[in-house]
Amino acid sequence: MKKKLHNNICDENLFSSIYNKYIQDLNDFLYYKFGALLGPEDKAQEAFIKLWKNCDKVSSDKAKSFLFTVANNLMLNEVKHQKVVLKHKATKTDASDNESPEFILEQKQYLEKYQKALANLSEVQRVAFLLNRVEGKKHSEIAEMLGITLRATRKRIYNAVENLRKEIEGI
Amino acid sequence: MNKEDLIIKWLDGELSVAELASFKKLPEYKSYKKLYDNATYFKSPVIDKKEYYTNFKSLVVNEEKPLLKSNTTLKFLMRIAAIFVIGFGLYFTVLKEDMVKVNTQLAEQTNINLPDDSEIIINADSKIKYNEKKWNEKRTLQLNGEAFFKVAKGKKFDVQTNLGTISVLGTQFNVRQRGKMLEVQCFEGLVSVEMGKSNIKLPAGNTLRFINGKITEGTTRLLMPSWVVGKSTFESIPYYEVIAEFERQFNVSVVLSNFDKQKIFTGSFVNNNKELALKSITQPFKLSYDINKDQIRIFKNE
Repeated sequence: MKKKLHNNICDENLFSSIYNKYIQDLNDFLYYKFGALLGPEDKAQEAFIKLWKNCDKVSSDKAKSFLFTVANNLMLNEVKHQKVVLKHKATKTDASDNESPEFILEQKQYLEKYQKALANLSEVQRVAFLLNRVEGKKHSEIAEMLGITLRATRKRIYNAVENLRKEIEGI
Repeated sequence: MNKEDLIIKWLDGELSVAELASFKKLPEYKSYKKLYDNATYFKSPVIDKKEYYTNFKSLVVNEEKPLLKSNTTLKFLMRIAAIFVIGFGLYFTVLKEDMVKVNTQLAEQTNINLPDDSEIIINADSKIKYNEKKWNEKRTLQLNGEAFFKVAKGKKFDVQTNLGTISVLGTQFNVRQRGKMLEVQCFEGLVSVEMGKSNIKLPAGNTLRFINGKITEGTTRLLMPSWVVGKSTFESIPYYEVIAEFERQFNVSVVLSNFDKQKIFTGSFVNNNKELALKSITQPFKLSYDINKDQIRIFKNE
């Protein structure tokens, strides 16, 4: 007799709570790892669709790693020859700001260097750093999200910061 | 505590008041802080969970999921697996949207063909998006940046930009949308430009420029935009846009000092020779320049 799964996530209430729990994190992970151009939101949706189709095979405690693995693979299929470019929000260039034109230009240059430096980081360093700084996640939360040790997480973030400083400021 | 541990603790928001004070005394403190403060510019989009979930539900088809029988033979199992795989494959082909997205980087131009053989030449740092599968019913594409369109005869389609929609019928025309500026040049056929409530028709040889809230119409004798043959041309365009295009074409950073970036410029520069191009854009205003690898400084010598 085949053993039935205890928590069947084919129930819509349960599934929708899983959806709400992971959709933003999944999207952030894909975005920070692969950039904006490869449609991270679409891949995140597709991963959830696959999870739904497999809802009788995946228990709720395995759902997170299923989602992240599937989404990651969907993106890898897409990557091929594209360059990763993380977009920064447009800095305002109207003179209506109190900032001087020199400051605005300097800021724009700094952000462009930053953007390039981020793209040059290894994926693992970039993801860990951005989840820490931009999403405000604690190192322990990031370790759990990525399935790595706390020590490995800290190493990635620290190295990311040092590499970014080196590249942006030419130290 | 050594420096590395201090930095890591700071990154995790775990420094005590005293530890934070000593962190701030580090000579590199400013550089760490700047890095940290500016990271927010790279934030990923915030998802509207309700909207996304509604969209997700509409993508999922309501169907009975095949249940595995407990007394399955291997053959039966394989048959189920095969059906499931085929179902999966079809499911994806049918429901995926088939959006084509083409993006050019700095210093890159590219050509694409639409399903009806219309041709688009895309200038540097631009983005085009359209639905390839639905092209016959929904002939609309989105443009952010600059592109030259050669639309097959008798074919009508729409180019949407942030500032207006350009509708065409078998023509050749150029659309340049950069920041708050929109320029359309029609080289052949007829183009209609809709911006807010205005709708302006541009026959061949006519141009339209919308910048700083003003619309200016003009003419051209060219048969195609100059950038397609390696030259960037500007007519009464603010200097900061000229510099922005220079940065795009040569993939460099330009800092402008001691000069009004709003000054109006009319002229051009070649896209294949940086020094020559720099001379072309600095001489008219008697500016000087400094080149340091891919950082360029343009300034007025007092």
